[in-house]
Amino acid sequence: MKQKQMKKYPVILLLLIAAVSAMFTGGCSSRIETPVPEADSTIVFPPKNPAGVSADIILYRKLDKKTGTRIDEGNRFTIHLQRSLHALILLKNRETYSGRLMMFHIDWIDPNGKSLYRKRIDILPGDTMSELHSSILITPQRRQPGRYSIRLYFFRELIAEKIFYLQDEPLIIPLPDEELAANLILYRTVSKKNGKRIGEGTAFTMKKKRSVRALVVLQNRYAFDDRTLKLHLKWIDPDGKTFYRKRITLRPEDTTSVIRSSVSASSEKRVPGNYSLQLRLNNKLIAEKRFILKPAKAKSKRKGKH
Amino acid sequence: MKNIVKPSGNGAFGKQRFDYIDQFRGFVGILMLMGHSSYYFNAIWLHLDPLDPLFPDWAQFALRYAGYLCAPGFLMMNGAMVWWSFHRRIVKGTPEGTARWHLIQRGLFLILVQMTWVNSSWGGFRTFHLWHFGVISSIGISMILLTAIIKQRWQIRLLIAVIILLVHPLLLRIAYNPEIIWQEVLMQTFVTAGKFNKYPVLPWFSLAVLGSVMATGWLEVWKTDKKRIVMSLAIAATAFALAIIVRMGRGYGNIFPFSGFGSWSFFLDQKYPPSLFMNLWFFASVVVGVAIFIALGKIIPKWLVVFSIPGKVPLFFYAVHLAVLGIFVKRTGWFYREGGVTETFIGVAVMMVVMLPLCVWFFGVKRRSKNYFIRMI
Repeated sequence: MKQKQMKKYPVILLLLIAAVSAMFTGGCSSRIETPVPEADSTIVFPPKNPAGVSADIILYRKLDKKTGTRIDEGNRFTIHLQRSLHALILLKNRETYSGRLMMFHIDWIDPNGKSLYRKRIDILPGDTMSELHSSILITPQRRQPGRYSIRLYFFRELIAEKIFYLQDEPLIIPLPDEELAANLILYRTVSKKNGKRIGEGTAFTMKKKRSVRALVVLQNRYAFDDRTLKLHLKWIDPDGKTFYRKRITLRPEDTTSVIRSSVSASSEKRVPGNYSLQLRLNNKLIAEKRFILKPAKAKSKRKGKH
Repeated sequence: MKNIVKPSGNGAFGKQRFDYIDQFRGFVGILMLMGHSSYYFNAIWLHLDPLDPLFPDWAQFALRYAGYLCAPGFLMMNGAMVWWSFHRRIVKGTPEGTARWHLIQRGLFLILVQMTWVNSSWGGFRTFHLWHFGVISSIGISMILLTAIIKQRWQIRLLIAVIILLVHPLLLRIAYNPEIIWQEVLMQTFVTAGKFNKYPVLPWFSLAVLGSVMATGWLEVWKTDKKRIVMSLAIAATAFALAIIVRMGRGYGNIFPFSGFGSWSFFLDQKYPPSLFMNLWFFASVVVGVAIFIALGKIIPKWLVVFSIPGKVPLFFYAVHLAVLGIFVKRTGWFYREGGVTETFIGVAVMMVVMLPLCVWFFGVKRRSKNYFIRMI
């Protein structure tokens, strides 16, 4: 009798373990776990059900106020004062859930793998929204250069991810042979003896009568010798305001490929902080360089020996 | 109380031990170790917010979700043992007041352990972090509260637990300002979760009470293992059914929304503090777990020693493994959050090799010792 009872236990046990395993691990994933990269570089975890919700992620710098078009779409962006990075998420098969609540999370991940900003978006039943938006600041105070990502979760499951890079280097708009580009060099002064630049770099100490000078070397200038180029040099302060603007018009007969500009670095005119210099062609950013103005160190008063 | 059954198995405390309780408690302790190993080795914790969890794949989900059994398991086993300990003492002739005072002291000791040892061990004792409650203090407070009703019939205790479970979702609607300390302490100690405490007492106390109710069945009323298994499964099935009804209602008793029946999000309602669905679901899961260990004890009793060992000294196992991980991983930064699921399991295996001999040693010390604090652990 006892042996018969003993024989029953494995059956009961198998059933129990199957039930418990189903409970704790069977929470079915609705996704295929092998990611699929899409043409726009969004990594998608496709739904097992072809009618399931999926998404594309588009990153861009800003919207054109007049036309509403997205400016600087891509996955490489420059860290800049008062600059944001925007994400537009286009939902596919959203109608599968029409009339039901949908829960999304957008998670921005930094180069160390840490979440830097998370946003939960619930689309309520009856809402026909099929686009999600989120943005982060990409200012030097908040971001470091590196590999970032934005992840989209649907009901807590990862459904799409996009990798992007923030860079500290001056942005040079893509350089096909026939496009104008520029190299910006910042320096303190020029040697009177040999004409060489002194104090090249991106950090300058503020002093009376001191300046920050810029040398702009245009590349591919020869490709534009048949038209008038309207260039602007903008010096931007830590508040993001342009404190000095220089307009340069290069006519077809003008073969100049070097532009110079300078601003004061005296503590009477400037405050310490992060500045930048931008070169724009027809209001399109061609090149940019960030620099820092640091306050001069206070002179310490030495006590004389008695 | 004349009908209290003889404990099964041959635990070292003789008549005072129930093998399947020890084993299940050990199993829960190992799950807890797995959760902590993940916390220290698994890179998902760089961005996983336990209050609002998101998962990149099934393995990470399953790893985290398995740990959800720990707190309900500990609370229910604690409630069961409080009930057993109290009645055993009464049967032995200990005055009621003395039996209660013993349990209150243990509860206070657990709060002390939380605030001194546990809080600081997370960071490897780099800083002394007193001002925080957690699961151990929640168990301690539950223990103290349980002494007030431990003599009641199981029907009364069940009613109390059910009332708390039903009222708790309503209490969660109380608005409070966590910037005001007395409001933060009051609300987070008893009702909701936050920086001060992720394990508010009310929902967890109700599970401890349910543990004491189940103990009445396991340790007193149901005389055979078959009866224990059958009754446990029947009760668990009822609780699962109730949980599913609550969840599918998508309203009262739910906190996080879900996409559909059987999906991750269906199972993954809020843990801090648990929703009514989660309480019902994990009450049922713990009851099934105990039934499994009763059955396993009949088939492969010797294999279960790996669970019995930590299950006999659960507080020691918890406090020491956490401190070891805190010191050797968090404090030194050695492989801290650089791995994944595999590294988590390697961490568990290594820690088990370290912890099992320590638990055997401490169990011996505890049996021989008459030191007040040693016996409290």
